Amino acid sequence: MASMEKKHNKTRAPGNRLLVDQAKSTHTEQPVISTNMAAAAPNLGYLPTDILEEILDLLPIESIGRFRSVSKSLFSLLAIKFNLPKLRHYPCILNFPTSYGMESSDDKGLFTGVVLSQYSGGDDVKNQGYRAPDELLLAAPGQSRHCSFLGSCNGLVVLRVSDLFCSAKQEETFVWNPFTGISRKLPHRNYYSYGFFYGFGYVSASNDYKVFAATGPDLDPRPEDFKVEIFSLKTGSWKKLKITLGVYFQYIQWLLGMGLFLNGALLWRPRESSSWGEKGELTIVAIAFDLEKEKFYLLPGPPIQISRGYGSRLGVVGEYLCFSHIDGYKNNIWVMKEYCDEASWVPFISYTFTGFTCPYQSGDGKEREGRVEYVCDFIPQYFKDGRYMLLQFGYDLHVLKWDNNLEESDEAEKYSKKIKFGRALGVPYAGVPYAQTLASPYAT
Amino acid sequence: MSITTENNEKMITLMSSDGEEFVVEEAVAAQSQTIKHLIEDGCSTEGSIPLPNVTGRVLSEVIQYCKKHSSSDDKEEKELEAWDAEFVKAADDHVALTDLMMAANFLDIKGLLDLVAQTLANMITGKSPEEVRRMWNIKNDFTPEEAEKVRKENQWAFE
Repeated sequence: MASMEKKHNKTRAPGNRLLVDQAKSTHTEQPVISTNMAAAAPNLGYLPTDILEEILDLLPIESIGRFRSVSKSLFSLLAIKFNLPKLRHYPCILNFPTSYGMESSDDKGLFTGVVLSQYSGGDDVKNQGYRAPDELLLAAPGQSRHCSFLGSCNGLVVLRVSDLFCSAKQEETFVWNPFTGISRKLPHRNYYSYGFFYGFGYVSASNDYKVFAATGPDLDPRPEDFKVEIFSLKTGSWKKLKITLGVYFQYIQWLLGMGLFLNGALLWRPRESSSWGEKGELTIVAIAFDLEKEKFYLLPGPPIQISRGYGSRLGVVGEYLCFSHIDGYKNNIWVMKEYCDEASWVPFISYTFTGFTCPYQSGDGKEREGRVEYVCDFIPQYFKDGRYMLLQFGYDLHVLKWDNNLEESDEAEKYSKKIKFGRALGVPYAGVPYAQTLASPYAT
Repeated sequence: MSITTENNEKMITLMSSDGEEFVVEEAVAAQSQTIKHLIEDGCSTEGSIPLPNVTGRVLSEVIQYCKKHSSSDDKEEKELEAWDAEFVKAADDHVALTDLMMAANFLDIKGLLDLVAQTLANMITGKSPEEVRRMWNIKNDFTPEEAEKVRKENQWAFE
C-alpha cells in the first residue's frame, strides 16, 4: 500500500522517464509531434499516453466516468489510473442516513459523504448524498434492520445489513461503490457469531480486494473456536482459512470490529491487557493480517509505559501507522515511519483534553460551545495530505487540523499548539473514510 | 555552436525538426530541463542542438514562453499569469495546444506543461465522449453491446 500511495502522491513524473519514453517513440511508426491527424494510432488518437494522463489528472471524476465510453484503450487506461484514490480526490467520511441505519423515512437510503479536504474551518463543508443500492433497500425494508460498515478501501465500501441480533440467514453483505452506484451482493458467509471482527482491503499483487471475516464465541473461547474466512472479489466466493493461531490467540481473543487497512494488511488494536508487558511497557501495538499471504503477524509499539488513562487507538496519518494513547488528560500520538520497524516510532503530536473549548453542532442543529472535560475519542484516520484528523466529541466529529507536515515533526509538544478545532461536522461516529473512485465491486 | 553576445550572455542555437534555427540565450533555453542536460553534457559546443520532435512553429512558441518566464521574477506573478492566459489563448485550438504540450513534455518544461495541460483539461471537462473522439481522432472500438454496457455503468456521469 505504501508504494502504491507514493505513486499517487507524485504530481507528475520528472523529466527523465518521460524523456526516455519520448526518445523511444521517435523511432516508432508514428511521429510524436505532428499536427497530421491522419497519422493517428488506432485507439488513443495521436496522443501519447503520458500526455493524456497529464490532462486526465486534472479532470473531475464525472468527466473521467463519461470518457470511459470513448474507446477501449482509454477505458483500460482509466481503469488502471482511477481505480485507486488519488490525492486530488478529496477524502471524505461516508456516513449512514441516520445513526442507526435505515429507518429514516425522508432520507431513506441516502448516505452522506462529508468531503473533508474542502473543509477550511468555515461553512464550506461539502456534503454529498449517495443513494443506497436498491438491493440494500430491499434487504432493509423494516425498522428492525441494522446497517453497518465492514470496511472501506479505495472507494469501495462493504455494508452489512442484519437484524440487531444477527442470524445467519437474515444477514446480507454488499460491496458498493457509492460514487458509481454499482453494488454487488455477496453470498452468505459460512460462520456466524456475536464475536466478530472483520475488514476489507486491496491486494496489489493480484489486483484483488478481499473481505475478511473472523468469528469466535464470546465466552471462554478456545483457539479452535475461531473461524476465519475470506471473500475475494475476483474469485467471487468465501474461502475458509486453516489457521493455527498459536501465539496470536491471546491477541485475537477479544477482538471486535473493523480492521484498519494499511500496507496490504488489516490491523486491529488488541485488548489493552494483552498488549502491555510485565514491567508496564507496551509490547505490541497491533495484530495484523496480511491479505496477500493470509497470515497474522504482530506489530511492535513505541517505547512507552502503561498509561494512566485508558484507551488507545490505531490510525493512519499520511501513509503511516499512528497510535494514540491517553495518559491522564493528555493524548499522545506516535507515528511509525518505517512500517514494522520498532525503532522508527516517533512522537507526532500530543494535546491535553482539558482547558479548551470547542464549538460543536448539537443534536438540535444549533451551534454551541462545549468545554472539553471528558476524554475525547480520537479517530486518527486516512488523510493522505496528512493535515486532518478526526476527533469525536459527543455525537459529533471534529476535524483536527494542523499546519506542519510529518517530515518536520520530531517533537510532540511543538505541534500541539497548532491544533485548531473547526466547526462540528454534525455526523455521528458511524462513518468510514472514503474516497471517490471508479473501482468496481467486481474487481475488473 | 556557442556564441557570446556583447552582454556576455552565452547564446546557443536550437534546430527544429523542419530545419529552422533559433538563436537564444542559454538561460532561456535552459528552462527546458532536456536542453539544460544536453548543454551540461557538452552537446551545445558542436553546432546547434537538434530537436527532432519539435517543429519550427511550435518551437518559436516555446521560446516565446521561455523568454517571458526567464526574464520575470516573483514580484510580477500576477502579470505573468495574465501573460500565460493570453499565451494559451493565442494557441487557440486543441490541436495547437496538444502540439505545444507534447513539445513541453519532450523538452521537460514543467511550467508550460502544467499550463497547457490545465487549458486542455478545462477545454474537455464538459465534453461528450463523441466530442473527445473527434478532438483527438480517437476511434470508437467498442462493439454496440460493449458501448451500451459501459454507458449504463457510467450513467451517473452523464446526468
